[in-house]
Amino acid sequence: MEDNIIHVKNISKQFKISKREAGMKNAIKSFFKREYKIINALDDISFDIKQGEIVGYIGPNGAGKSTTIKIMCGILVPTSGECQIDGYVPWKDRKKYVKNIGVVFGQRSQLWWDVPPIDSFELLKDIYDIPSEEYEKKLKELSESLDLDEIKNIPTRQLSLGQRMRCEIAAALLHNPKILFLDEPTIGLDAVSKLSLRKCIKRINETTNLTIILTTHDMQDIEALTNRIILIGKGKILYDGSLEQIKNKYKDKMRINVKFKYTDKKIKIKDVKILEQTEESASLVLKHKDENMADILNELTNQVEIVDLSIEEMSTDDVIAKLYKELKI
Amino acid sequence: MKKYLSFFKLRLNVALQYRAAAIGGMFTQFFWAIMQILIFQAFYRVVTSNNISLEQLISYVWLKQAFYSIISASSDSDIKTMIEKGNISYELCRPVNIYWMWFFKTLANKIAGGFLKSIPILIIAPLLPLGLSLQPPVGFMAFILFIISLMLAICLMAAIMNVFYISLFYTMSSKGTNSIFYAIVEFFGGTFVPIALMPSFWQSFCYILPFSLAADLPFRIYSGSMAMNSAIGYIGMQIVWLLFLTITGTIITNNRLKKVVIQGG
Repeated sequence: MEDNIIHVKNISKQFKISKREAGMKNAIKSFFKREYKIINALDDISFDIKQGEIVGYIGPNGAGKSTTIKIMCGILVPTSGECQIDGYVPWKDRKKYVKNIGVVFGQRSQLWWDVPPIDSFELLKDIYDIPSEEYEKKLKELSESLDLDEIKNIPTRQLSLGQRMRCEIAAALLHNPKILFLDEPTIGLDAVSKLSLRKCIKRINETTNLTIILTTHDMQDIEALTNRIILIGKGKILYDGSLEQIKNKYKDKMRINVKFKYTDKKIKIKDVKILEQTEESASLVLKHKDENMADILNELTNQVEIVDLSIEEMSTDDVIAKLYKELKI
Repeated sequence: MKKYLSFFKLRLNVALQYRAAAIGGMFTQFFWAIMQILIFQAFYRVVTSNNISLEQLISYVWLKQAFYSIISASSDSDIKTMIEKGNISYELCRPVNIYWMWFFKTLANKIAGGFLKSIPILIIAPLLPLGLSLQPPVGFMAFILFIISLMLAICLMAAIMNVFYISLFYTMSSKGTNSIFYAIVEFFGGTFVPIALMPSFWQSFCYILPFSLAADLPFRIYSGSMAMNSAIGYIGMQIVWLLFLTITGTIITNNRLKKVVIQGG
């Protein structure tokens, strides 16, 4: 408990949303009388996070990820439940609490659009009361790790999305927070920008022992940055543990597709299941994951004359898609 | 306090980047003032007002136009879109009081954007031929009271704008409320017809409301169309309104933030 910086217990959040059927008639009706529907955005959420941990918070759209982040940032007040972060209840001591956290919402910007990021940084320096020395030191440090030197003096509106996102992260870290919330930081970024951003985040976590909570739809983000995931669907936590474990559970065993010269002989290899076989091709699945591939291939070459061969492993995206499907979220 | 002041710095910075907007705004106000003056000259040939002489009215018009963008109900699109689109998330992650942050942001926006337009008008208007020109203040005392009431007026207008922003927490959209709000503030603030030219029962009604105190009072004091004693009384009213609006505004904002809904995911 002592080293848990974040402690969330039984958090629920309900929203009242107005709804109406399609069509002009209903539009007029709802002008006079609104109908509301209560939805449970979060339903009894609990988890703990340790100092210095990176946690991936995943789930399909509308699962309640952003709502959780907003509650943890002190922006939204939950309907019920308790939450202690670094000794504070976020929504009660909002002003004091937020000094300890940094936030990046990937779909929004905290930088002033018309001026270079450095001006936004200066404003944040005053907003957070950062002493000049500390500010200079931190800025230098962040400029190095996020590679900002060339971009911090260009007006924000002229930065590319990837460049801007690096500045956004710098802006969130200037006041030296203990916890960083990243809400879809890689959304819309190209492959190169994603890679460099992940590297930066990893480096910052390692050098400063920063606790990071990351929501994303990009499983490669998760794979590159963390091993612990919390999976949420329809407002409930469905899984909290390592990504590896889920992968092992849901992954098909290695699959081998092979093409060979015409034969009507049935392939037969120990511990390998033949999914299908025609006269010129076959798909095989290993029964155990830790089977020796070399032995199997040897055996295969003995039995047929191989023309082409490929080995498939399920990607993490496939695993997660399968998982969502199985959990019906 | 420093954190609020640095909004000024940054906002001025932004305003300086858009020279064309500043120059354009200046010309608009300049021609608007000339047009109004010519209309009032035509009126005064037929009837005159006991409340305000033509010369006083001309000075009033010049000042009003010079400070128009500072003391008008034009709302700050930053704050509006922030609430409508949900960017308020970031604002709520800052260790500042939301009400005062908006108050100072509005002040900063109005002053930074407005002074660039007002200075050239204030330089040119006194140099125009008699009958068109801005006259010097009627006396030293009037000038001091003018400065005090102008500063209070700017703050009061920011507090009035905050009422509008807080209303967005309830309505979620500025469509409609924006135009109603604008019409009320501009009408009671004497933008269409100066308060001094309105019927006297209407005048006393207008001066109970904060709008005319924010957008009309300083210029009447400067032009000398208001007695010193009543000027001091109205300045007192400005202070009362300012305290009332900011205190209730802070309380309402803090309460409302507990129920806030962030739009757009």
